[in-house]
Amino acid sequence: MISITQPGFYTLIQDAGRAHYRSYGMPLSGVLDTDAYRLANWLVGNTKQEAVLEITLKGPVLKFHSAAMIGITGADLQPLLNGKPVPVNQTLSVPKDAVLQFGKCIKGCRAYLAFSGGLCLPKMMGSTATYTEAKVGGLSGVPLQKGDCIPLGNPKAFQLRKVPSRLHCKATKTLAVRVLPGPENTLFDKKSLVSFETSEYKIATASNRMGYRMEGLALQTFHPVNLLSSGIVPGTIQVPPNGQPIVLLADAQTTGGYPRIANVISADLSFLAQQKPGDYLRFRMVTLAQAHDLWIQKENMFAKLLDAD
Amino acid sequence: MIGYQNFGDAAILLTFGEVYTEKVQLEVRAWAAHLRKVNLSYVADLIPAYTTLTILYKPSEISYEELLLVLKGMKVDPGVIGPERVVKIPVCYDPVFGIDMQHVVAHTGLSASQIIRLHTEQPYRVSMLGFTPGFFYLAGMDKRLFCPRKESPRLRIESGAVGIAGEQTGVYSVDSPGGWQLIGKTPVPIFDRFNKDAHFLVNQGDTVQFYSIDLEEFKNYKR
Repeated sequence: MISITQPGFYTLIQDAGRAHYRSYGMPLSGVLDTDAYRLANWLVGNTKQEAVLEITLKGPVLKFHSAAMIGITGADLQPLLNGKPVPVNQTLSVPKDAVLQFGKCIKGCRAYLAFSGGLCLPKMMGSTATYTEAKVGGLSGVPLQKGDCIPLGNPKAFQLRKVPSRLHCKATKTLAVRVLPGPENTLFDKKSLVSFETSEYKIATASNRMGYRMEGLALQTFHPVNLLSSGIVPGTIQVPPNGQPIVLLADAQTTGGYPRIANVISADLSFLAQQKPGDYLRFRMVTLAQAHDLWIQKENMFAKLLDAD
Repeated sequence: MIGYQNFGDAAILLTFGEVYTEKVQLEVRAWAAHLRKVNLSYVADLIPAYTTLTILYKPSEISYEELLLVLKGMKVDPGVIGPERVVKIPVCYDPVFGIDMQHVVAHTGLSASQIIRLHTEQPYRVSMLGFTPGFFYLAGMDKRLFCPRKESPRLRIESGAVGIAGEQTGVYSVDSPGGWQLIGKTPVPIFDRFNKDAHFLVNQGDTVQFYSIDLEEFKNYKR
């Protein structure tokens, strides 16, 4: 079992999310950085779907009531075990009664903490993912609180592992994100399309797991549009009447009525998750064939690593 | 004519018409019902909306071109749309919950009892679900009840609150911020996180009929 001495800024129980409920208005939820999530579970010999902690910017203080193996991936929040710095991206052995805490976030935005054997939690609609807007998943649907206790599952035997450096967090002040034209892309005027593809957009403070609100050159459609609500998928970039794009993420509502100018490609969603408010994005158009090639390359690389043993 | 558009690299957007009609909605629902029935391994999820159906697929299992061929070759029977239920929803229009009723009275020129009568008199078709878990968009509210949203949204509205916004009426399914004019509240959970057999009270295509209950009935209401 682990107990939460301090919850940190925003620590959530997450997994791969709640597929198959979007017809009912239930978002996917789940981890934002699926790459780091899979790697964290791999570090401790878990299956890919096991629940982890998604830690945003400022880490929690955890106490281990039994010995465990853990893995921390994604953002580097300078973890300390019993006061001593420990590395991220490799399997760590944690003795009984040890305290894990975190320092300053020096790279990225979200760290993923996996435990050998996973977290023992009831599933809600097929998932343990916390979706705070509807108080679903996790522990009563809210971020971790001081005093929370989570039982750990039974670990399987596995070997100690290290994440290859090419798969470490790639956060950078300005990230180039590859996108495809969205369903309403052609409704935007030429000047706006040029602005969108050539200028930088700043991630606003009012960003969260529902979406990144961007600040930059305003985008406009030729004519005012009044759309009927239609589907939204991870990475959809919609433009409300103020012209400032919003990149929608895992907790976004399932439908929306603003024009969809573009969509971030699947291969880049995990990189996006590590950008924090104040960072910048650049959007670069690619073709569908390129997006699929990049995705399949990525999946093959992960399969080779994760399924190797 | 169905419009097919790629939507990101893991979804395809099917458009069944430019405007929302009963016929277009039947097509959206027939396609969603068919895709659920055939349960293709490479289809990850569906988002049926007013005139569109978003099909999320797994690009590692099927290419866009192949999926397009599969969909274009699909025989979808527009008569097969799954069950259509009438869902009766009790609403307490007492001023305790209908905190904007006087505003709607002032805007529409109707009395509170006329508003309640018009609101409960007719059935509403559920055109789609979205916005929040289990939230349903209802079609066909009486024009006399039209009332614009509040100028600045409230920070928190409790689930079950019944409101009017422009030409729409609906029920908040979870506690959330919102700008609807609140005229009542239902004791029935629209989204029930703990009821494994029925998390969501209504489905797309159902018909919702509101009926009025008093404060006593609201308090004594049992699931």
